[in-house]
Amino acid sequence: MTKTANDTAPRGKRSRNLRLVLMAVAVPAVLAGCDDDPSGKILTSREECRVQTEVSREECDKAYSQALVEHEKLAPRFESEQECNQQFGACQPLAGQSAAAHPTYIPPMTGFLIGYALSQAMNGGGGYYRVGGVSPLYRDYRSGGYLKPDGREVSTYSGTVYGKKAGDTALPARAVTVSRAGFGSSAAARGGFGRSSSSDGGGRGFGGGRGG
Amino acid sequence: MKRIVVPERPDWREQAESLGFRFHTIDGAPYWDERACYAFGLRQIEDDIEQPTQELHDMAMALVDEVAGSEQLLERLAIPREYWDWIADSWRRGEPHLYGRMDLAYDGRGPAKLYELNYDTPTSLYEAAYFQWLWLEQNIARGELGERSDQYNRIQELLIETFGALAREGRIATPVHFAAVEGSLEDQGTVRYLRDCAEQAGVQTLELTIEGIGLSREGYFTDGDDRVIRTLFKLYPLEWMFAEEYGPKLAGSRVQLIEPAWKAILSNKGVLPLLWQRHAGHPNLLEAHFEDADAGELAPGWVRKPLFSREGANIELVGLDGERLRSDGPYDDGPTIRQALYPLPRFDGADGEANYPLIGSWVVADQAAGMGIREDAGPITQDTSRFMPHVIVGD
Repeated sequence: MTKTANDTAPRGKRSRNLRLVLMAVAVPAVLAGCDDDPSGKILTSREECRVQTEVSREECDKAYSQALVEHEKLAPRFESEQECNQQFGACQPLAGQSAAAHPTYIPPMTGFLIGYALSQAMNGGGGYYRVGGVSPLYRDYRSGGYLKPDGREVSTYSGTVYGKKAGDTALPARAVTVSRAGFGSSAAARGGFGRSSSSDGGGRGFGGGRGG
Repeated sequence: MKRIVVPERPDWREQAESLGFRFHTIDGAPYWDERACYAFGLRQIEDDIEQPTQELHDMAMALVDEVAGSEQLLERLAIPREYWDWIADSWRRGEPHLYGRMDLAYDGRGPAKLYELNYDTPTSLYEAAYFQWLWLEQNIARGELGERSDQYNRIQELLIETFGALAREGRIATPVHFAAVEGSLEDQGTVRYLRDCAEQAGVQTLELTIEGIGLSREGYFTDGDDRVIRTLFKLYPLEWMFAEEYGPKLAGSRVQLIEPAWKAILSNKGVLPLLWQRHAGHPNLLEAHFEDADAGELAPGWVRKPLFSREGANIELVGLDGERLRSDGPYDDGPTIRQALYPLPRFDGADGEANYPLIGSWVVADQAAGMGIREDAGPITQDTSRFMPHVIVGD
């Protein structure tokens, strides 16, 4: 078959060029456009919570803690320390990984983004905006930009960033939680579900009723 | 359709680990298995799997429309009365759904037979959509499979397209929260994968556990940071949610669920007799009936399944020779159906061991999308079954 015929052949029954961005160890830091980033503020440390004026100190501290949690879950992962250091510097092996796997390296969290809706009127809490979202950030030493865990650049400077996202108006962004764990009891009661390390073979999650 | 031996990629375990596929081995037993694969002709795929999948899906959706408006049918499916209005409302408002998987018995000849629909919490998604695809691409690159080898698999592409379309059309709120049961490696891997697809479509996502969902004073569901959950992808059965503490809060929370409330109709094995009543004799359907209290012993050639069951649990079948097979499980406390026995085909391995493949045929946003195969050493596919890749070679 000639090359031309190949080029015009049917595309086949499968997709071309699939990739993963969250699950893959090495996250390519693609500097894509970021028109859906929230308005918000980039802080480089928890100490900066004291000097910012957009959200309350308590909310800011909480945002920092939340960013750290997200950092542990979502930090870009690299197969080699060198590769990670080239982009971010001061990379460390991921804590708690299984000994069988290759060590995975993650960059330190060098900042965090507090998103808040600029369109929202000052609310009752002493003239502060509401926090609309938090993300850990990573400084790319090659570009100087602050990246989100998925590799999107938020800004090249710390400070206020602007975006068009003003949040969903149908429901409030936040509400005070008064109880938790009202879902999940069936998984526990049915026995074995959610115990992926169990030895009785019953620990496979509930899955999708695959049987025949 | 053939079962052929292909050499394992020597580094597939490391690859799996680095690509978030942490459940390739479960409880010490292999789950992903590439020591062999199933080879199909293109005609088999298009005529016997893809086209019937689309037709069965369309029949199922027509059935939802009927059931959602019928108290008698909702009752027949043992769906709790207090959720009828919520379910009907979710259907009337056209709440979008993402995906489903139907299980088909197929031996390479003749029509595939529908075992059941898994339309609320289908798993084996990541391995079918991504890792299976990677297996094919790499084996072509390595010369183990011919350059013209193909695979019936546009699952991931359609998932990304669908997330993108839903976001563009404003049919989901962002960020979308994704939740799975705490501590299940497999469920969390599946949810992480779906998040990955959503993020690739430009949709912002957050992750939490089913147990971590909270409730606010106003009746909204919240995450661990007091964010109100507006759109929730939950890898957790609707019928379980109904029975739990927060179940009665679902309607008032204004949460948008994916899969939506109306999927409670299709995740129920009662749809099998209902489909049979409406399309008796359809080549892709097996005869099925609701089992009433006075139905008597299960006769040879029939299978009993609970309306609500997962992972092949609590299935009882009687072979034509009278032999009985039963799988244990926790779903022995509800109504059941009977379905005509249609044994899985048997494909012997190189050393003569029996293998029974079951086809999982995926539907994404109402389109037949691709296929994954799970294989068991016994005729009932269970949670111990292995995932085998497939390839299309020739016509």
